[in-house]
Amino acid sequence: MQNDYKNIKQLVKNFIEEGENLNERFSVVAKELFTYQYQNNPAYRKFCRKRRITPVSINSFSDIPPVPITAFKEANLACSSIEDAEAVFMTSGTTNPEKRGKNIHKDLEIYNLSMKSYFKKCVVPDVDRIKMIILFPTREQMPNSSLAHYLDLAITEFGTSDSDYVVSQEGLDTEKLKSILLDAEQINEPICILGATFSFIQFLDDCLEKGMKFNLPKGSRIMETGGSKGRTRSMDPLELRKKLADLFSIPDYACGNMYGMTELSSQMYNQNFRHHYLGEQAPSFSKPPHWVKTLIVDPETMLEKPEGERGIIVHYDLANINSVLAIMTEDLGIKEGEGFHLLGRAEGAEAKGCSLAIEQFLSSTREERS
Amino acid sequence: MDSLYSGYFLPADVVNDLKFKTLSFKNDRGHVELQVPEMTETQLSSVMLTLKKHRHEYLSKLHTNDLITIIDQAIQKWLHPNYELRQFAEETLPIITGYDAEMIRLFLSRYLRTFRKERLQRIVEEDFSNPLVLDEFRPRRAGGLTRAYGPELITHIFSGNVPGLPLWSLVSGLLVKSATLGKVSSSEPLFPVLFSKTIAEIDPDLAKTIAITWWQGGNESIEQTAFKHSQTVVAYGGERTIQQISKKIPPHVRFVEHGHKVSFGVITKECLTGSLAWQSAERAAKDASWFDQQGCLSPHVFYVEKGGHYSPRDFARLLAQEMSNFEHKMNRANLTPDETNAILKARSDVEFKSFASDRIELLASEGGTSWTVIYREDQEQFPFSCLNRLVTVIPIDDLKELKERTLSVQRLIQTVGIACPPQKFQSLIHILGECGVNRICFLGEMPQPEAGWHHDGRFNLGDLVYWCDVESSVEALMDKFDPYRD
Repeated sequence: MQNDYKNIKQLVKNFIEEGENLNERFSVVAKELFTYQYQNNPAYRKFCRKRRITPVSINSFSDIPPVPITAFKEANLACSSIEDAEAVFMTSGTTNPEKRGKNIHKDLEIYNLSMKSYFKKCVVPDVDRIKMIILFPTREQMPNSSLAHYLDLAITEFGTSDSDYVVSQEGLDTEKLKSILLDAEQINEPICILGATFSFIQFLDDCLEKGMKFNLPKGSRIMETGGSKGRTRSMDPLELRKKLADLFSIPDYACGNMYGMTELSSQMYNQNFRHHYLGEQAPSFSKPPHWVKTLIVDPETMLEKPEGERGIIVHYDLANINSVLAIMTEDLGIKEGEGFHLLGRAEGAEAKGCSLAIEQFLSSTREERS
Repeated sequence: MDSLYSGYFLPADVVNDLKFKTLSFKNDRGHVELQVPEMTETQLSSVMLTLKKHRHEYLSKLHTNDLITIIDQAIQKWLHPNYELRQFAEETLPIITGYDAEMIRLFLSRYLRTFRKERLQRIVEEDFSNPLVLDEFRPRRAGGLTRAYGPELITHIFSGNVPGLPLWSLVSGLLVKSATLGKVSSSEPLFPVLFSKTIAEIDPDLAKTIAITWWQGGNESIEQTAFKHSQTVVAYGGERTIQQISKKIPPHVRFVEHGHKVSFGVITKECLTGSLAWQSAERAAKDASWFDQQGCLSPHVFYVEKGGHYSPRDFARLLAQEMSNFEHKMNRANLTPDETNAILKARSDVEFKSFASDRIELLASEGGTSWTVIYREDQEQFPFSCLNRLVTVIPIDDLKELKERTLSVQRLIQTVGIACPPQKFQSLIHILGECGVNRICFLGEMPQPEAGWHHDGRFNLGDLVYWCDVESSVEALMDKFDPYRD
């Protein structure tokens, strides 16, 4: 079995490294990986059997049954035991702290390869290294956060030695961030600010209140990594992007946006920076790397929605080798060309009639308590 | 079908100056567009003044019996399958609400029958031991006289998707001789409009005391205007809607709220014997499927007593079979991706738990989300359903457990459908009464409350009226002040 793991890892590694335009091969590799996961991931095997699907029944990658992400909370959806794992990434569990989704990584070789390959293309295509400022706790502070690991990897692989974190467990250190930004202006060295969306909003609000603005050196960029639920006020993503571009005096295309989740091992980015670098017209959507296929499906029939229609986002991520490659998210999206637009989270069902729905019950008891 | 219809019922003289907005409804059965007005505060105020004027000149002088006769005539019209407005409702409501056409047809008939003359009389007699108090001062047994007055004008905030439900509120207002301002919901704006048109066909003067309109829920200035000119506001809606409305009600205006509620079913072990088990399952499936569980009368969970010939798990399987049969008879509405996602999430949660434990089981329709039965031996919290035909079965050892198990929703329980033999009847209703239940009916009857029931545990008409008592001292002492006294 150890041998199997080595082989499957090599197969995925080759696929990631061999470059794009490998559409037909995607299904071949996906089927191999599905077979491996079917054999080694008992919870997933039961899930597939209930749907009468075995490796024999797979022709195209889209025949592979996607697992709803909530399953990551109920089961150890992995091909290896949790004790053997190099890393266990957990969801933040904002809704129920006791129930956190776990993605168990036997090792991080493919995860890291996936992150580095696509980060390079989308975020830093133009430079080898850049000074990075991270608005998120460190990996040591949050050992189970995939985002902390991702950001740590960004600094290690693409950051200069004076890169820094400006968030501690006490929260965002706005004063430190301001002084770093002013320094950057002074010495005219481009920087890359990365962090969770709610930290950007917090910093933006603080600067607006104090009437502060920055004039970051040419080549500077920011990368929002998502996440604002339950933390601060929410904000329309386009409006936020405009305000941030204005705050830092950077062009629109330098405002990046990453879409990722604990249950995946790859990230997707908006394509503005990359296309600007390549001198092409940028599409407005987020695009996955070639080892991820993203479909927008009708959750009722699980059939793919035509372009332009709302549906639930499903990812087939070949880098998710140790858990399951097919994931059904709770996000709503619309497909456009090779990419997709994220429309936000599918909020449970707001009851149409007069029967009390659980969400309302919980929210009303929460309101009462507060 | 593809046409534009009016989604309002307003005095003719205001309609000319109104601006309109179009609400569109579309599904695989067709396309309906309804025009709803966007009234200014001035227009709304003037409508309300007109309503009050006609109420003063006409409605306040009618006797309750006259009103019962008029409503009964309207109901008779609606019960006729060839009645034009009924046919129109049968064609359009399935498109507007998404519910199965046959279900709507059946519901309309059953529901409308509960407003026939003798039922209306029962509704009145339920709350007033002498219904004549609504027409004149009547002697009280304790001495003196008394009379009940309905509010001058009631504003009704109707809720959406159980079509026809606003009729209850509308009729109650008429019976106590109040003028009616009805605010329809965007999700089902049609039925109250159609019924008002029927009233107009029978008694145009009475129809002049009714206005049905629409505004965006939460519209500050319009709601303030509406509430300010009302004596009573009756509102149906979710907790948040009710809270928001209650904040805007001026202190002198009475607020009658009907917030969201939960319901459940109880099946005793005696009913899990032979063909009774199957009948119980069939009745349970009907309750859980009707109106896709959107009604406050729809069960979220069935508590099933252990020890019967069939086990609670067997019952869950029978129920699953019956849910599937019901789906073949009457399809569930198409859902939004959000609603489907809620079902998939609940299913997935149970499915992966069931891989590790046999105390939980998922029984679900294949190739879609049309029905879901969850069997769960451990109740962590009250098993709310995300609705749209997803229901939980929980085994219990003893009926006494019900109180503890429903404690967290005590103030919110509406209806309990029970399947029990005569021997258990008394003990079971005592337990349920203590759980704070408002209505107990037999399983399979949950969606159809009987006339005169205490909706949300309160008086219907009794909650609307104001009493004027004339004390016996007047009778006793006025003779002494009679200039022609002996």
